[in-house]
Amino acid sequence: MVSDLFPSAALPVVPVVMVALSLTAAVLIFPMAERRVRARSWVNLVAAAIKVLLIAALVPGVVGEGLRPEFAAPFLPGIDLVLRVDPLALFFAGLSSILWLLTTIYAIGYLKGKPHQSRFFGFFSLCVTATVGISFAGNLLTFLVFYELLTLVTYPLVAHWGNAKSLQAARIYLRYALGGGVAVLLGVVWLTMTAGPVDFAEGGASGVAELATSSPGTAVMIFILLAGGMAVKSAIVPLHGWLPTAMVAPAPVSALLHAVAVVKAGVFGIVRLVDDVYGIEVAWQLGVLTPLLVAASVTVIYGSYQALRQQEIKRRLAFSTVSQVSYVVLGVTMFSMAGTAGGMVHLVHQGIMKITLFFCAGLFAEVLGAHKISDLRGAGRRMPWSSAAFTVGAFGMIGLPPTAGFVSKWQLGLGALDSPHPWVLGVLVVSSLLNAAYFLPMVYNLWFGASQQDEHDDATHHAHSGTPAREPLALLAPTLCTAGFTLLAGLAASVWFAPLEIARFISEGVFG
Amino acid sequence: MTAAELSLGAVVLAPLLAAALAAALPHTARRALGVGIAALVLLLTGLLAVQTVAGEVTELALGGYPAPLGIHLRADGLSVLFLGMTALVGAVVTVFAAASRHTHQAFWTLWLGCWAGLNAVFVSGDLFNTYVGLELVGLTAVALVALGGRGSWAPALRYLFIAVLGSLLLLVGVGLIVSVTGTLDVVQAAEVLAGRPDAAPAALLALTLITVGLCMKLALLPMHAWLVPAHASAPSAVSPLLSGLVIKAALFVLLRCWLWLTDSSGALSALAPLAWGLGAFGAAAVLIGSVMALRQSALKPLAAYSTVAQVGYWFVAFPLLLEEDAAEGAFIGIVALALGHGIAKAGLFLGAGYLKEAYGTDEIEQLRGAGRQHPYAVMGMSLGLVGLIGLPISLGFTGKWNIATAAVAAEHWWILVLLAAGTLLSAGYAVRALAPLLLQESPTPGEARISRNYRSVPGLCVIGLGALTLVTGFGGVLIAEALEVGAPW
Amino acid sequence: MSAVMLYLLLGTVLAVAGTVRMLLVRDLLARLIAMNVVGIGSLVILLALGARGGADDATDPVLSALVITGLVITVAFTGFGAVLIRRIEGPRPSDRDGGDRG
Repeated sequence: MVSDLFPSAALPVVPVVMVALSLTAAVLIFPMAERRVRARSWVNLVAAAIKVLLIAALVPGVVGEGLRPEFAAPFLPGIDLVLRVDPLALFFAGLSSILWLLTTIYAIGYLKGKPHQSRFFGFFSLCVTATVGISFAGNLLTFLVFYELLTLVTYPLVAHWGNAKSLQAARIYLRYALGGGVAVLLGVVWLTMTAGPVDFAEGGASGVAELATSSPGTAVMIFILLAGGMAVKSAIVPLHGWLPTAMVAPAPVSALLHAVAVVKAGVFGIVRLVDDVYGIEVAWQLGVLTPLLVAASVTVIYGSYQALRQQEIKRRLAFSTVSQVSYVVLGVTMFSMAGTAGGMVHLVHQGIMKITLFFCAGLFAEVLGAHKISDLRGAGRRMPWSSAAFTVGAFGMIGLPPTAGFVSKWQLGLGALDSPHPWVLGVLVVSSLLNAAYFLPMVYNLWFGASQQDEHDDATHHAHSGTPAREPLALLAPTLCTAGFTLLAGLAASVWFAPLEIARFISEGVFG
Repeated sequence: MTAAELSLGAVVLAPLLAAALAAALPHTARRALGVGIAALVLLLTGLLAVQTVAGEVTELALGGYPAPLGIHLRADGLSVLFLGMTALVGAVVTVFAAASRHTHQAFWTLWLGCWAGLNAVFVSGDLFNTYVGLELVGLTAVALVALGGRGSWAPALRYLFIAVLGSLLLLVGVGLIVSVTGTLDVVQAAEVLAGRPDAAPAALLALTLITVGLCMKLALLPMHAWLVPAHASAPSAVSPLLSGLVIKAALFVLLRCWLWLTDSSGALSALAPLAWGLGAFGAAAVLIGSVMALRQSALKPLAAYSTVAQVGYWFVAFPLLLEEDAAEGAFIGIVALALGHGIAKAGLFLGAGYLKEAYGTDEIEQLRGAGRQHPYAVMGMSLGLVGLIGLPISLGFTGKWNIATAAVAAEHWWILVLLAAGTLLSAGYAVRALAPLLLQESPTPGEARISRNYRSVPGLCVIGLGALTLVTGFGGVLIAEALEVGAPW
Repeated sequence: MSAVMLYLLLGTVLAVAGTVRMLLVRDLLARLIAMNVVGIGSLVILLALGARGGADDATDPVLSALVITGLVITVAFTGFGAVLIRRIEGPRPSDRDGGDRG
């Protein structure tokens, strides 16, 4: 059936087209004059839409028929740049392309009338190029190339406002990310020299398995280098310091950084490392999974605890990301099939939930000027739609049914019981309680808090309390979409193309 | 005579004749001549490259006299790679200079002469022509620095002293080789040396002299002090040529002597102390050069110190050239790093010079927000810095990858640590140089409306070099294949 | 043979002495002269090598060619250096003549 959609000769080109799409968009956008809003928006939207369609067209072939479109170009002596579409790649690319489309719509609305849009959207497209490249990377070197590219192109996005504070944040971000990048580079060099060029393969690369039996010490050292480097981007404690400061970036950037791009690239790398480079069996025998599991557990709890202490909306969400992203690592390292599926499905679920919350935070900040949690009081009456979306996202984060978050946590819980580490269930419970403790007050403030205008001088705000404020459609529509996805993914979790089912499918492949 | 043989001679003679012609032409005609010659050299180099990549070493004996008497030209893989890089960077800088209002009248004669010298060094088959070519490069380079006005004369003179001292050491080394082997031809000399183990001490002494002399021209660490003022005070169009191309000529000769002369002569193992000494100085250069770059407040000195650091990387890999299983990787790595540096540093210096011409200063603090007005120049500089840090996709990354894998193969772990430290430090000075340019304030406050400079040719030249930095990053395999042509092993 | 050794030694002493002087002296003109001393020392070394290299007492023509080229190039550099020194030490608004002439 896929042969109807793509002639077989064209198949290998598909991943290249995917990467080239956003790259072309970027190249087209950079030289555009500031005022050509329309042309810019069109380029952005068309590229994003084509990409979503391409991914959708690939799903039946890759998941159903087991096709693996692959493209290879020589890059370094003995090593190719390889782009390959496998289910996990498609899973991550699907997430990023759908959220790219929505975030683009949101960003067009958000930046309306603000300066440097060409630069913003140019780098934004490059950022997506890097993300797609990361997801389709077929070996470690290709992964590394796009991983470093991501670091570079997100730097101007974090520094976008160009004031001292954002430059400082961008500098901190770059310091962390490059440090991690160098660790990954050293790990890749070492692994390539000891185990040969490493292609991603379900169940682990054969060269690495040999290395693990012949010299397990080296294999462990390399794993530490690689996982340590990727832990920076995935903000695992104590390498999470850059994430909360990077909150100075424009709202769509924060949304993208937290939901799909940077943090997810790190986590995706860890998933690839555990499942497709070392193979979960080999990694388990080497004994490297448990330390990672413990680090993830600490991050989950610590992130939630820090989130509880924050009074700014964006900072609270940032620490929430620190905590939530580590669920993925938790699932992948607990060494059970259900757990791996839980971790992978959270990769997508956390993405759509967190992007909803950041969209909402951006809306509250734009419309009401609300930056602190106390500013949210009474916002429910003035911005009912945004508040509803926020509530859905927050419930999802806590893990209440019928949201996507519930599905993830349920699956992770099943995995924990099934795994050698049942204590992880305790981590999940404690973390959910903490999640509730920091999200429920926000939700309460939204709907039941006395309006802030009673205490504040309303000169700083746009409208009077109680009267509904105008929620810009370009911002609201993507927000409602992702909130809808959050509900859908929870309600229809057992449909064959739902994230959960695909995650289970991938997980079966991982465990052979 | 085939087209490739013809172009082998023409890449040297065309710019040389043009240099003489330029002195007689009016100023505007010089610009046209320069651009025309740039296009011609690019074309000729392309012809040569096609021939070489196909696996053939092009040779030409000028005037028909065979070695050792005649002028013998030879283009193997190494030659063609450096020729190609020089042609690309040279062409872009030529366009920049032709479009810039600040280009000095004498620039054209000197630059075309310098280009002829560079090409002569790269295609020379014997050490005599190499020496003459290097001298032509040195003399014109000193004169080019001196075009920068009063502030540049003292640095130019300092450069001149070092250049002459280095050349004399080189000359004595070459003389020693001639007196031992009776020939100037590199390949013939290597053959003679291979047959005479008793000549090894003399060869070692000669190679040491040559190495020290070339290291002066290359500004390896203890002898680096001349480079910073010379490269920083040179005119905008000159600094990229000095940092990107001129020092590469010395590196080329050094590689030629180390890998071709010593082939199988047994001298290679005796070179170990020298190689380790160079490696140690290289390591110090990487660290000290980067830290000094971090401490600069102006763009051009920062870029110059970055050159000092980058020179260090090449020498860090020298001990690897002696290890059997790592030599090839290290060689590829050094060449890739040097080529990548040529393009990336030229882009950085060209951007810095562009901004200096636009604002009258290269103090980073006073250029705050320059990126608003000159987006292409600043973006070109950023891409150049990407290459200098060694992030993918650039030749800097390819080079570091090759050196790192060679270091793992030879189990010299300190090189890995050094590469990592150098990468992070260079990222540090990259941010230091770039971040203020990206600020939203205007460097010329009071100017209400900022016009964005999208159309200026010099700006396009800068971003052109930036783009080349990335595009050439895909050439890693090509470089490895090209180096196989006429390789010493 | 001993004459050749003598010349080799002489050349080396000249070159080393010139180099030391060049590095230590601050006056530009003196430096330029020291540079020429190094040059002459190096060329003497080359000539001595040429005399030694010939099997049948004839000097090596290639080495002689090297010496001549080296001479020409050193002269060119010296001339250019002299021009630069004159410019550097020429009239400057803030500087008086003869400040550090040795």
